[in-house]
Amino acid sequence: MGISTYCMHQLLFLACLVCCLTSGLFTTYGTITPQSPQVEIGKNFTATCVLYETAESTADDIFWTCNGKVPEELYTKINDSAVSVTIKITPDTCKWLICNKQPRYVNQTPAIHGIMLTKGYPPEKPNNLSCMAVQSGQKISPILNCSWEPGTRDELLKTNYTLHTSDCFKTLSNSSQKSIGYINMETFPSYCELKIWVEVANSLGKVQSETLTVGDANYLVKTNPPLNVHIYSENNFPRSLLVKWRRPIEKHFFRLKYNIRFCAVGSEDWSEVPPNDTESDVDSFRLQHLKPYTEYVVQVRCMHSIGLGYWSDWSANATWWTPEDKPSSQPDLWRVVIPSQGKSERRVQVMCKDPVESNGRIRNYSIKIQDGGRKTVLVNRSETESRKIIPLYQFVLPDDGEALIELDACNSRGMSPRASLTIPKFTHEPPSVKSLSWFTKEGRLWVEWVPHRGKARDVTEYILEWVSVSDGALDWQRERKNGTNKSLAYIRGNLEKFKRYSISVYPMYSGKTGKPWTEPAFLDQKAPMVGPVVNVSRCGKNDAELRWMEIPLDKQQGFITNYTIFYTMGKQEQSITVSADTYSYTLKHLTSGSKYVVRVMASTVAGDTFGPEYTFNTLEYAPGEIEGIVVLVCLAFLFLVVSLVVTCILKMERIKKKIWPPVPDPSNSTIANWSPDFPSKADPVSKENALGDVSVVEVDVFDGRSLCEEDKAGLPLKKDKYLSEEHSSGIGGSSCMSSPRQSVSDSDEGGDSGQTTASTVQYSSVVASSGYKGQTPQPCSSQAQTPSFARSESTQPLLESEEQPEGQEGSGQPHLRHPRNAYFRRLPGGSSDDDDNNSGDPGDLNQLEMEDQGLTLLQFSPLEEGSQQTTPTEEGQTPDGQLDPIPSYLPQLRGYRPQ
Amino acid sequence: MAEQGQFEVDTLLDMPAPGQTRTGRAVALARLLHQDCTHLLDLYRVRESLSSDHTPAGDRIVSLSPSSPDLGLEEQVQLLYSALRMCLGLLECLIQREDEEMEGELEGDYEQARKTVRDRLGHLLHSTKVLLETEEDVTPDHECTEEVDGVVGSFRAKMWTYRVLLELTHWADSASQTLHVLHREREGTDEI
Repeated sequence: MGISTYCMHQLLFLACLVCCLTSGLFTTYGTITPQSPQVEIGKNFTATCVLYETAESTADDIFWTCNGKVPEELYTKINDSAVSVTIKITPDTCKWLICNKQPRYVNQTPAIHGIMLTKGYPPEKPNNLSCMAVQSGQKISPILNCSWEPGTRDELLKTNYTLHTSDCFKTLSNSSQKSIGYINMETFPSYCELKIWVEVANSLGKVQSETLTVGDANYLVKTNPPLNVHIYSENNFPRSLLVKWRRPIEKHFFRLKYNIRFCAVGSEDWSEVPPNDTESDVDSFRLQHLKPYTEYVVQVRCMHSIGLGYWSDWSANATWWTPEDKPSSQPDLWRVVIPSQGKSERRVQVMCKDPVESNGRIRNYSIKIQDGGRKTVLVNRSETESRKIIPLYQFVLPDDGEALIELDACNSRGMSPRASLTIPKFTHEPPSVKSLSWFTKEGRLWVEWVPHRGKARDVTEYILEWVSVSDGALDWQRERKNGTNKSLAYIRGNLEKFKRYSISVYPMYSGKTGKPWTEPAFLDQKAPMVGPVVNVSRCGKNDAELRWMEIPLDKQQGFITNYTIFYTMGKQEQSITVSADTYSYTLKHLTSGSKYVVRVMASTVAGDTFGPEYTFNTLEYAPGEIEGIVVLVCLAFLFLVVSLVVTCILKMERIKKKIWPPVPDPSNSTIANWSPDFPSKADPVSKENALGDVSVVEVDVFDGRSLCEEDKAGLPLKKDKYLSEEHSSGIGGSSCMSSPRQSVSDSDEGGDSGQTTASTVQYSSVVASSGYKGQTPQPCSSQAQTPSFARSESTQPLLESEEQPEGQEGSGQPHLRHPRNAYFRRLPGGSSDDDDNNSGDPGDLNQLEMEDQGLTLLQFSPLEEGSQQTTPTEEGQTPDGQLDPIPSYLPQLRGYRPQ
Repeated sequence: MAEQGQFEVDTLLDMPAPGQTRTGRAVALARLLHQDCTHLLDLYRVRESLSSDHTPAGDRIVSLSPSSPDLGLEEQVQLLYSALRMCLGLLECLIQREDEEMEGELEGDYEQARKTVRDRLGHLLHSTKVLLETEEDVTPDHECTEEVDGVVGSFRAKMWTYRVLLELTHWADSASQTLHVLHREREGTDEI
């Protein structure tokens, strides 16, 4: 039912196809043979295009394209409707080869037919076919695994690999991968000839490898390693071990031969038993010439006795110890000599290592020092601590003494040969080697030394000693003498990288130690673990002394080659490199008062390490600079003071005159006029300011009319209490030009001021007339516009002795003195005569200044400033309130303007 | 007899193993076949709980005797070859019958050993044929018509199977000895 339906569908499809073709739905003009070819690269390929009648063209209209038009010389016209083309196939050849015809009209499709070229290479022959069958359980696995080397060309076409086997009974095959494959033969054909080959095929051909023919399939077997490998020792054979094992596969399959290898535990140098000794199919073997009391590792493997096939893997490790034997070599005896400070003796520490051929565990040592008794040193340690350094004995040896040390090592089987060592007198030590050097190579530290020229023949061996500087760990090894030539040896101990060691070579003269030659050394170097810690020990204005400590030896990790000092101010960094033995340095040419950051870098050949930063500030002034400046200033000031004092002393009289000018005798004074222009020439501005508003009152001693009425009316102004600037005046103290002084005129206090002053002698009176409190200077005379000054001229100072009679006279002759100016303050206790005397100072007009407030009436005070403000009651007033009539010669505080 | 045969095999195995020449490989193959047959017989005894002392009744299935003193060595090998072909036929019949009896049960050690003996016997036949330089076919020489009319799984059938396995063991042992004699005859030494 199903099959018939399927056939019906197929018939319907074919009928439709025929109908389409006949109805012209698919117009075909020709075809190409062969269709969809797979072409071989490097060879020629020929295709033929055949035109149908529907093409309405001839062979001459045909042209081929293959990524472009194919040249016509490659065409071959077969007949009027067929043309072939032959092209060489390369990897770059086009994918589509198309047959075309010349179009008859525009837009006509020129293509007739096209074919796709599938390019590729024929299969390549596999090489180096090899196969293996492994053991499975107690039999040989029937699965044969093979591998081979395929071709090296790219497989552009689908390629099939097939592995074939043919034994005496049957032939099998199995598809494989490109380079490996397997065949399950169900039963491995032991003792049968077996042929194996690989066949490689693709659409361009087929090729097979060389046939691998083995006369016996067992030659392809890799068995398991031998089983149950055990080692047995026998006490009477300390240098022998018996190895036993069990074969991995039954004897029925094939005979085996074996390989045995062994080594001491910890060693990787395997020793192999000669193959001839184990060719026979045995299951045990006795290893000989081993070291006593040594743990050995043994491994065994096997393969077909014929030698064809594959070795099995090595068996698992089997380990065992050989029995003990008595030591067959001397113990390694050595000493450390430490000189005692301040004493002529040495402290000797005797130590040893087990004999190289201890042949057992050393139980004790028997030591004898010089002529002393023999002492036994028991050794208690575990099995793994052999060849450790054992401190045996310590004694003190005088510098002029010599000691012979003898040592025997004992184990459970006997005593070793005796070792001896002689420590010579301190002053009689044999010479050292001539020179010593070292280098590292392939992770080892090699030491090279040159023997002493004269004593080289006496040297029996050398002791190469190394001491860790960090922890003081010491070890040594013995080196044979190499004639009189230089000797070279590497240190066989476990040196640590980046640790400093002191390496010494001792020449041994028949057991007597010579002087050592010691050099520091590193197995490997790198940058120091820490950097130098720098600090500033002294800091100046432009320099700073840096100090740092040497890096501890166990942290140097290499030889310090140099130190580099980096110091930074702001963003500017500078560096200085100093030698490795420098631990202080003075930075110079620094900027004063600046902040510096400094650090020191220690360098080895393998790297650098910075120390911590240290910050310091340079001084603003150098030490002593401030003190110097202060001293200079003080000296200058002192000099100035001294100069002033000297000057004052020398010019005392002149100064005195300046300060206390001679007072003219009023009795000799006359009234004189002077030109007001005189001072104005000196200071016109002050004249305008000061004198422009000055009202000059005509002073007429003899004429009471000289004071105009307005001025008299203005006198009551003095009654007002107001603060005024007191001006001393050389002219009877009435000048407004005196130094400003706050005061309250006492003369205003009493209503009798007018009466009092009426009896005083008034030399002159100067009244500032610029408006003051409504006072308008009135032209009381024609001279108001041009102020004139009247003064009394006197060249004789008023003396008390003279004044008093005058006062008395004044009281009797009132006509002689008229109260002219009430502005004058009456000094305490002073009579009018006193006032006259006080005002007898000619006054200095250069102090005559006017204040903006206008006229200020000032008093003339002979006292100092401080005392000028004292009230009369304090000093000059009598207890009854009367003024003290103390005559005074009143100096003027300031000089007066030259008149 | 089986113990004696086993002893003889072990004695032979302790000898240097041949392997280089055709006769030597044939001897080794016969020994291996004998080992496989013994193993198969042991598996069958275990499977059927048969004692090793038990000997089935009846004559030998393969009655050829190569040890006749009147025969030459080549003839003895020829007889051996024929006997082995018959053994192979018997084994094929045995496998066929047991497979029908098992009806798709999983293959165990016995079945695997059975297959190994069959293949190994084929290898020995081929090796012997090469030694004889004969054109005689190595196909099994048995029609499986004998002893097959019993009830499947019956004791009689098991005894027949047991007898066939004994026969295989016997002829394998016989082959190893005969071929070894041939090897010594041809190569002049036991060690090849």
